[in-house]
Amino acid sequence: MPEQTTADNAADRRRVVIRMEHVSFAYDATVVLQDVDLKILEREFIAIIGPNGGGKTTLLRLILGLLAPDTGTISVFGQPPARAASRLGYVPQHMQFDRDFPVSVLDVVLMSLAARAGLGPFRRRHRRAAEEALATVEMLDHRDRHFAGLSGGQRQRVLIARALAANPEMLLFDEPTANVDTTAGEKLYEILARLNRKMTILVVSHDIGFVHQYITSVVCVNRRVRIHPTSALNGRSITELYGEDMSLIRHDHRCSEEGHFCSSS
Amino acid sequence: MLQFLTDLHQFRFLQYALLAGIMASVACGIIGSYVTVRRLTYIAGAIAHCTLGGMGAARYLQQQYGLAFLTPLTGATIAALVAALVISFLQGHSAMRQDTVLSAVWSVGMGIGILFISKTSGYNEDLMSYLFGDILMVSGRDLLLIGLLDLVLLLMVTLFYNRLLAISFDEEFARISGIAVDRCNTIFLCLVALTVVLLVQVVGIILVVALLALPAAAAGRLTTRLPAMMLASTLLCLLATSGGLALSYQPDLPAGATIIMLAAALYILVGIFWKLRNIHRRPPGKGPFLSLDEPGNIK
Repeated sequence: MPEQTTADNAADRRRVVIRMEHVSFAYDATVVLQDVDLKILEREFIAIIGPNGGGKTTLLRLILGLLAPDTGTISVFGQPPARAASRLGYVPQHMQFDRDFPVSVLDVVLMSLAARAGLGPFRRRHRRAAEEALATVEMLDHRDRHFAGLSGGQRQRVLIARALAANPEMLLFDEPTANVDTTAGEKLYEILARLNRKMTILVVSHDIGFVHQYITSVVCVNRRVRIHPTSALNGRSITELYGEDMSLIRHDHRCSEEGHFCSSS
Repeated sequence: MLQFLTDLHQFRFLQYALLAGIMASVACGIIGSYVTVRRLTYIAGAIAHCTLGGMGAARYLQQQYGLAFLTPLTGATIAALVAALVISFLQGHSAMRQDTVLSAVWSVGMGIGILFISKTSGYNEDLMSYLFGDILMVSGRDLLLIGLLDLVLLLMVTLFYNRLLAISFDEEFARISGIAVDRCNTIFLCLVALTVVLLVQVVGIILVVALLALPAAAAGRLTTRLPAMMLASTLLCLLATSGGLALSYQPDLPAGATIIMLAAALYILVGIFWKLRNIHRRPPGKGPFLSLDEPGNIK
């Protein structure tokens, strides 16, 4: 099988940020990912989609170096994932946090700087970096609020700021729009599109068939991995991924040439 | 109460007891807050019960071989640190479930203690004071060690505050951002161990968990940032230890148990205050009163 690339154009000169070759991973006897080849170029905006249990989260955790592949190699910025992890900005789902945890918004953002700030209290420059990151996501006015008191969308933006404060070269999102209302979700994607001018962005989405207008390529994960440029994504590839009786809704507020809705059945 | 105040001027053991309570409160407030937000009370319980092994062994060696330097407090410190390291090692390097690890450490530590105590003639009465604490027996030497442990704790927490906060909030993110999570967790468990040793002196092995959890849980309701929670928790703990000591003195009640009762009363009072304030603040017609699923919108 030829190596899959997310770029439309083979002559693309952009730097490869993530390269996976023949990667397989199993939890005990259950094979989650099998013979995955993947190449992600800088400044792409990738969506990872696929059914629950299909291996999306595992793929993300492999890239972040939280899991090691059983076979195959992964390189992130040309390095092993665990060593490159601090160059990645990870934004987890905002629902996993303890509602009563005693932290302010600024405290949360500063957390990404704890490793590099050394022992003892944060210095002024760390605070400044955190405030800049909060300004980028338009949350600077909320800096002293209790993190738990924010809405889902606001919390999500603070977690983006936490990733941004460490000045990452790539952002990885787990479910950016889960439990966030539509307006907040739109706002989130606007911020991401703005960030995408400078850095590579990868989002994992459980919203089946959810493909946003800003996204350049879609990686379909269901044990095996297929890559589609968004323009080529159609009902057939979705059927391949999820099986029959699954339809694709193109999430796009401008009507595309092919129309708004493709059905596979 | 009045008797306590007049005797406080007179008797050194009372002054020592009060000081021990005050110093233990500092450690209790700081580490108790971490333990509470990370939901690790059970680990503190396991470490606390392990100190019986250390105290029993120390008493035995002291009596049998005349090792005078090996006081029960020293033995407890060693046992607590060993327990912390064992728990941290087993969590990182074995497939054992966490509660299995903790139950094993918890009961093996106690078993060792009881074996040693049974072989130490004339010291069976010590068992009660280990289990339920005897703050009135704190010696000048103990006080010095307690002070030293307090200083170590304060220094370590100042150095590691940012990392510990990041790990407590989101361990996975902390790992990705380059924090040596496993090493920090081991250090943290050692700090919990030192705190447990201090608190065992005040309220005894069995009641340690309550003193670690109740003031911190109450403080958590009153504050929205960790440093404030630590301060409030320290003050509540101080109130419980000093108040409990004073209240128990004249009627000759066990000090440890009185301290815990006071801590529980403070916890309940804070809970009632928090509920009342929330009802008061709730805009009309917005959900039920006294909902346990209150959004964390306390500011």
